[in-house]
Amino acid sequence: MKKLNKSILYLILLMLTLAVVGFVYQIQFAKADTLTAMLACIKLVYTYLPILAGLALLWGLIFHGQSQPASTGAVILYIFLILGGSILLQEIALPSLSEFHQAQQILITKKAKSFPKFTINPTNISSSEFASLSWFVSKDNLAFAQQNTFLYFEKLFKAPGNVYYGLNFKIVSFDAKNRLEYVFIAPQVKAYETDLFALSAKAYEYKNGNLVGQKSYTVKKITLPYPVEAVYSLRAHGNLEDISLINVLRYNDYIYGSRINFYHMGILIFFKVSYYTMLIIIIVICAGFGLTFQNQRVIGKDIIPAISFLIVSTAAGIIVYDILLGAINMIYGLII
Amino acid sequence: MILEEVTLIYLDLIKKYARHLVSAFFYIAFIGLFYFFYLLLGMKFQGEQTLLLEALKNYGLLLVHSLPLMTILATLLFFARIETSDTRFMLRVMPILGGVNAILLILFFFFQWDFGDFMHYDQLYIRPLPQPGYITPYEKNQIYIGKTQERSLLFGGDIFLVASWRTNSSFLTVTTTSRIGDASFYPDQQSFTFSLKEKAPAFQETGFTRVFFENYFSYVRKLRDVFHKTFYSWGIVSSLLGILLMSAGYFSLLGGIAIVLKENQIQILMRSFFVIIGIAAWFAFPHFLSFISLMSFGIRFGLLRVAFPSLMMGSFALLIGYGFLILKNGLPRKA
Repeated sequence: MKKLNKSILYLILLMLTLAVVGFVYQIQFAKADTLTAMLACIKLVYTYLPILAGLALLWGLIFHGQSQPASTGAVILYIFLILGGSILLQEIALPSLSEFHQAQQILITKKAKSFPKFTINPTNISSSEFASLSWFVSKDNLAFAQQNTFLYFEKLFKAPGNVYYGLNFKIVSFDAKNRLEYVFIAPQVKAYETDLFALSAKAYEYKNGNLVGQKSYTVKKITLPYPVEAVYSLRAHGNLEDISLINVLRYNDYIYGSRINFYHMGILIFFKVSYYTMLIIIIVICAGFGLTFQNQRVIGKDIIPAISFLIVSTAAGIIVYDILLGAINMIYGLII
Repeated sequence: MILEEVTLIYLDLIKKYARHLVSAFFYIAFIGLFYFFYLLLGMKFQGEQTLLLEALKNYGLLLVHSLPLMTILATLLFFARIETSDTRFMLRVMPILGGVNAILLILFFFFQWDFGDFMHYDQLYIRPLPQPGYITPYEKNQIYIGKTQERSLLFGGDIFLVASWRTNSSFLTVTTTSRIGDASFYPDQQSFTFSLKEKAPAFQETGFTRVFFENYFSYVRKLRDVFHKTFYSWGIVSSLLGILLMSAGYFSLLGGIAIVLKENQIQILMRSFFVIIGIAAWFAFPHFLSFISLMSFGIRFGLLRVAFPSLMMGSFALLIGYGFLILKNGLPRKA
């Protein structure tokens, strides 16, 4: 790692420069608030991370330092480091920051300074808890299925402590001949992992499509087939980029069993995986050039070639990035 | 015997030069892939039938148009890397390689077919097709399309039982029969329409390459016209002779510059410096040609109308190139 500390220094400098330029632009010219500007900056940095990482490695290898020649092993380590960093940025930092952004947006509309303290007990339910719903971030129209049973939340709120509140929860079930078998309606529900508590719920039972029984409950506990967090986090809603691939890995039984057409998610994965591939390709190209011509000694009169090298390598980095992106867009446009 | 050896030396040199030409070709062809990809995308959007062939044709034409840039870069990089810089040898090598380049420039001279510009295409979009047996999200709503004999459902505020659905290329229309409301189940006939177009989460290109290419296109078209106007004449021999003489001179000048500036210690830095010089030389090329073109207006003897100004400008550039060579090495001494 010590052999590449120069590259990492360059990378940090480049990222900082880009982030500062983006931030100043967002604040000054686009008139965005601080959090929006920060989010835009993170997006900017990870979008152009392939170029920055490649150039930093190339410059670190080319310009002579005190350290001994770098080996291929160090380069591979660098690739893993950058890949880890970009996954961290894109799959963890950005989704959580964007959720934080939504929460801040709620604060702004409520003209409040900070959130009130919530004490939430995940094992019981009371109707008074639903008074504070407007403080929580939410998603609309979440539906999923288990065999012939369809479950649906009109609105699902995410409260602190991974407790979820739902409004207008409904279950519809069909029998083998596709006739109505069972309808469950609850205006207010609370869910924690796979447990769901429904308040003032009604259940209708049908036989051969005709109503045969009707029941009312003040509180009814239901066990969901999947954790409610999977339902919430994998709902493609508005901004697709906010969905983290980590949740896709975590809840893969939900993906297979819920009968949801994850069309959007598939496209998202196509673009994300091609981004990571692109990152690796650019770093490998830069490493190839850098290792071949490493440790060039720059003395006084070589300053003009050195500057022209900086210009040409930057232009080449940007062009290679655009070409690879063009290939991805072409594949998407022609095949998908 | 000796003559054969000498010929072999030159052939070997031309072989080495050809290798540089091929690598310059591959670099430019790689960069040109950007054009190729977006041309394919644009043609697909415009509904072109034989899009692969069309795109390949345009890509090939672009590469032919890049021949002057290719030869300039190859010449500079070749003279920057050549091991010997023996003055007597170089005096002969410089015009010979200019002659080799003349072959490529003649190819450029005869190609008059234009290549297409970038085509407009809409932003990439998602087209979520309804799939039987799955719940598909459409904007804010979700729709379950049943398999055969199954009920379809629409989840939007309430759960609706769907009577029928149909799609065309851009819309999905759903008609409902009944609805599971807040507290009961009742008939409700409504019709909903959903768009099948959504913005795809594609990454944005930097925009630099597109601007670069657009400027390259306009300049390369200008260069083609200038080149054709300069060397067009009634006699084909005069044209060919003109190109040959001009090329021998111009590329010797570039070779001389490369020999003066080269520095073996800092290879890649020097190469990128030569790339920038090459691009500058390519920009200067039409200006150089305009001297020949202007001079040819005043010449009455038709057969030499193009060849004579080329000879003048060629020998002028050649002598400057020789000057650079001697600046580096000193005057050749007798062996």
